[in-house]
Formats: sequence, C-alpha cells, structure tokens
Amino acid sequence: MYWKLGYQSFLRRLTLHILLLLQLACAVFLLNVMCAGVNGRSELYNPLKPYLTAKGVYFGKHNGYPVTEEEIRRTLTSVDEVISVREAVFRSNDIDWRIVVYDDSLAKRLSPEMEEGVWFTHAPKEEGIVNVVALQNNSDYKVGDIIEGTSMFPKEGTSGNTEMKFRITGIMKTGEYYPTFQQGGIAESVRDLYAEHTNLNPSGIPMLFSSASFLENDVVLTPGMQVLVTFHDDISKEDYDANLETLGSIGYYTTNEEMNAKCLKYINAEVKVLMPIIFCLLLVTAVGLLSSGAISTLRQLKTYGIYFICGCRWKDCIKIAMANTLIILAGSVLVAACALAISYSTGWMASASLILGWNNLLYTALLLAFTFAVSVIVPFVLLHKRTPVDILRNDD
Amino acid sequence: MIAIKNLHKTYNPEKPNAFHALKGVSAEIADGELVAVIGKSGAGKSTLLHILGCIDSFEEGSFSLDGTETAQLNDKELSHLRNEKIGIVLQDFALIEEQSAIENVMVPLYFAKKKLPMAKRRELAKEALEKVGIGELAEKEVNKLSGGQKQRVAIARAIVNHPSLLLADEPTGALDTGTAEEIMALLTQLNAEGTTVVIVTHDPTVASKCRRIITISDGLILHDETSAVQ
Ligand SMILES: Nc1ncnc2c1ncn2[C@@H]1O[C@H](COP(=O)(O)OP(=O)(O)OP(=O)(O)O)[C@@H](O)[C@H]1O
Ligand SMILES: [Mg+2]
Repeated sequence: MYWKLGYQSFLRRLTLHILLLLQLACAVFLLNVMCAGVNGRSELYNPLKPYLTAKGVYFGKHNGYPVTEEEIRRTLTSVDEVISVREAVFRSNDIDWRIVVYDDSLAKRLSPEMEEGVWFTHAPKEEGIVNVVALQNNSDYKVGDIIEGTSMFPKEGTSGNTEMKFRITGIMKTGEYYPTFQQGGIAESVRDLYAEHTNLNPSGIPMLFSSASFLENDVVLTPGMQVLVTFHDDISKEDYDANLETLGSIGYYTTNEEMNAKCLKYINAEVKVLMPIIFCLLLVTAVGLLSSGAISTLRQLKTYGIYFICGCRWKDCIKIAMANTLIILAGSVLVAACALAISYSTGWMASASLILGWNNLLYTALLLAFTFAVSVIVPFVLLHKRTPVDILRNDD
Repeated sequence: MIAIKNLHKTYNPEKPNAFHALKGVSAEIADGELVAVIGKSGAGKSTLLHILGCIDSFEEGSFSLDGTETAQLNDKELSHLRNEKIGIVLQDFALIEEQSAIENVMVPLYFAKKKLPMAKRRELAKEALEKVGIGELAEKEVNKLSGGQKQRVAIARAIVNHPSLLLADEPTGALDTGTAEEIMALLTQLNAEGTTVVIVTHDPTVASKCRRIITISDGLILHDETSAVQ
C-alpha cells in the first residue's frame, strides 16, 4: 500500500520528482568520481605509506654503483628496514629472463591489477617452484605455465648453474604501475619510484616479478641503484643527522618526511579542487530537496488529508511520503550507477586514473542517508505540526 | 445510531488564540435519519461534522457511534471506523485533482481492512460511480470535470465502502441551483436506501428537504426540530 501510494505520489508530480532525481543522481555520481579520484591518486602511495610515514630516506649513490643492504647497515646507525628492488636473471630456451625481485615486506603490500591470475603472494606455494607474475601478455605463456630455466648467478657454494622452475601465477594488466626504485636519489613523488607497464618491450627481455624470499637462497640477487631506508622510531636526533650527513657525502637522498609531504600534497590537491564542488553540489541538492521536498509535500498534504478522511492513519501518511522519497533515492542511485558503469566500461575512468573502491559505497551510503534524513524530516515536521483537519480547512 | 452528549471543542487550547467552538452540544441521531445542520458562519457546524466524522478531537463530553465510545478508540480503530462506517463529503470536494474519477473513488479501498484485488476495487469504484450517475466519466481526470460532477465523484468515494453514516459539509455550496437540486436528490435517495445522512448547509432549500433540522448558534444547539411531514 505504501509503495503503491508512494509511487502514485511520485507520478503525480512527475517532472518535479524527475528533476530532483537527476539532481541527486549528479551528486552521487560526482561524489563517486571524487572518491575514485582520491583512490586513484593514493593507489601508488598506499603500498609505500608505511615506509614514508616512518623516519628514513630514499637513497642512491653518486658514483652510480648499486646500494646493498649490507652497506647501509654497516654505514648507518639505527636502521630498521632496507627496502630494495633487486634483480635476478635466468636463461630458458636461449632467452634471458629478467626477474624484478621485491623484498617480501614490499611485495605483500603491492596489488597491481592482473589481466588474469593473481599477484604472486596470493598464490599457493609449492616446494621447488618459484611463483612469478609475468609482465608481458604478448607472449604465448599462460597462467599456470611452468618455465624451466638456468640461473645465471647461482649462489656461492653451489656448483655451476642452478636449474630452477617458475610458475606464472598472474599476468599484469597493461597500464599498471610497479615499483622500480630507478629514479636517482632525489624523488619528487612516489610516482618517480614506479614504472608503468606499457606493452612496449624495448629490450626484448621478458620480465617477471617475484619475492626475494623465493629466490635468495639459491640465487645472487643484483642490488638496485636506490633503496628505501627506514630508521628505528626511537632514533636520536644526533644519529639521524649523522646518518643524513654520511649519506650526503656518498650520494643523494630524499627524506621520507619530505616525500610523504609531497605525496599528501599531491593526493590532497585533487581533494582540494573537488571537495568544494562536491560541497556546493551537496548544498544545492540539500536545499533543492528541502525546498522542493517541502513544496511537494505541501502540495501533497491535501492528498494526505484526503487519505486520512478515507481511513488512513496519519502516521501512515508519513510512511507514504517516505516511500515517495525512497523511490526518488533509488531512482537516482540507479541513474548514477548507470553513469558510472558507462564511464567504467568506456575506459574513461581508467584513463582519468579513477579507481572505484569500497569507500565509494560507504560515501554513497552516507550521502543517501543524509538525503533521506533531510527529506523525511521535512514531511515529518510538516505532517506533525498540522492536523488533517487544518490542512483540509486551509484549502477551503 | 449517533449519541453526542455535552460536547466541547476548543481550537488551540491554552494558547492566546484559543477558540471555544463547541460549548456543550448534545443530540441523538437514529439510524436512517436525514438531518440538516444549519447556522450562521462560524457557528461551529463544520466543527461538529468533523467530530462526527472522527477526523477531529474534542476535549469534553462523549460521542458514541453505534454504541462505541469513540474517545476510547485508538488511532488504528478510529481509522477503520472512518474507513468502514463513515463517508465524508467536504465542501471543496477534497479530490486528488490529477487523478481520474475512478482512482479517486478507489482511495478508501486502499485502507480497507480486507485488501481486495485491484480488479475488484475497480469494479466496486465503478459501481459507486454508476450509482451517482457518472459511470461514463470514470476514466476522466478530476480537474476536467464540472463542479457537479466533482461533487458526485466525492459522494461516490464516500459511499464506496457502503458506510452507514454519510456526512456532507455544504455539499451544494459551490453549485448552481439546478445542480444543487440534483445532488440533494442523490443524497435523499441514498438516505431512502437506509444510510443515515447529516448535511451541513447554509441553503434553506436544502434544509427544507430534510425531515430534521438542527440549528447551531455560537457553539450551542439553538433548535432541534423534526417536522411531521417532509
Ligand atoms: N483551527 C482553528 N483554529 C482556531 N479557530 C478555528 C479553527 N477552526 C475553526 N475555528 C473557528 O471555530 C469557529 C467554528 O468554525 P466552523 O468551521 O465549525 O464554523 P462553521 O459553522 O462551519 O462556519 P461556516 O459556515 O463559515 O463554514 C469559527 O469561528 C472558526 O473561526
Ligand atoms: Mg463550515
């Protein structure tokens, strides 16, 4: 009954209600775009956040030699983690395969999107087989394929080349970013620490990704040019300054503090632009809903008075008004969802690096709850202050 | 049967603009009576009618309908009473202008205790419209109807649930003499078929059609006369 009569109310002021519906749909859509924009901008930041929010540096040497963890620990004091991106090479079928090797702590924080399969940390491990993710999807291997190869730099103590098996657990999507730490010692933002996976393959070397713990027992990993270092929380000011001085004398560094500040500025720059727009939109929607809701309720009050004399309880009239509002809300969500689905499927979202996440649902729910509250309070107040007889008399 | 005793109604009680509209009204109306309530503007006629229709409250006195004290009923029971036993016709028709005649007449059926299927509701509404003589206008939007036709729709809506009591506030007030006579004929016909009818009116010709005339003045009953012949 409530839905039927609420729907009748909706139809009765169709243009007004459609207008309201579209306005709300716009707000929902833009809110989601903003949220997705922040998601997109934070995407590269989030995996590195734990390091960047700790004291530390991003460091590379003057002379262009690689930096090893051992060297960092030897020269600096109070070192907590040394995060690096190393490399391993093996040969299979006369082709050299390069493996980008992440320290486990970093590997498990990464989750680039896969064309198919899963990131190597999410796949079950099998003794003697190294899980890897492949970068190129233009080769003829598939998820689940096992590649057998010979390591070019076996660990000392083992004789000759080491035969190894690699299983492909996933194939990374084109356009995804992965950390390389190849930017010289001074980095402007986290973006500098990543490379984009384009389908171009200039070197012709097939590339794979894996985790240090899978490989380092058997293979010598080539250190990278730069490392991300964190110091212990309780490092003294003197030690910290001394560390920086040491590093400054042998290379370039950016402190994590600086880089973190830059990242936050970058992420929030977007929010700073979008937030006022969203806010204005919300305001317009709220005012619009309030006034048009009030108008439509005032106009409908007489109808509710009629329902009342025909045997409807006064509080049930409020439920009918609520059903009317819910129909508008549901309609606007539907419209916004369609718009989002279109933006997604046409690739516009990806090209604007917008990423939909769970927080989109959360913020949408909050917006709707707010709207519902506002638009239900209005009829509630209006219906409660006036008796049906008042309303019917006023129309005399 | 309606029995009211010493009814008092004050609008906006305990406020500066409080208005004592009914000051102790008592009357009994038997089943099947045709009663006119007359009196000057502001006398309290509509107030009385609203109370009889269970759409307004009173502070003092009692009102029983077919032996039930209405003051003791809750919201839900009152709304069922309105739905099943009482039909109300208001002066300005109180119709939903953007909907068709038949949709308006179907409204009380939405709130009936027993939910009928849509087809059955339509059928009942159509019957009521035929009864008031405008069956052919069923699908027409109300705002395209004449005053007399609207009043008929309002009466059809009031009788669609076959109430035992029909209350009409100035049912002819907005109509020309000819149409007013037709509407009165309709109301007297409904009364002849057994419905108790109470009509609030300014119009002496309308009142003269009723066997019993109650005159209200300043919130009190001045006269209550039943004529021997109609
Ligand atoms: N909501 C209200 N607040 C204050 N006073 C009211 C209210 N409703 C009605 N009144 C007053 O109560 C008195 C009786 O009103 P009522 O409508 O019953 O008169 P009536 O006899 O029907 O008059 P009319 O012939 O003009 O319709 C009037 O003086 C009116 O001004
Ligand atoms: Mg009146």
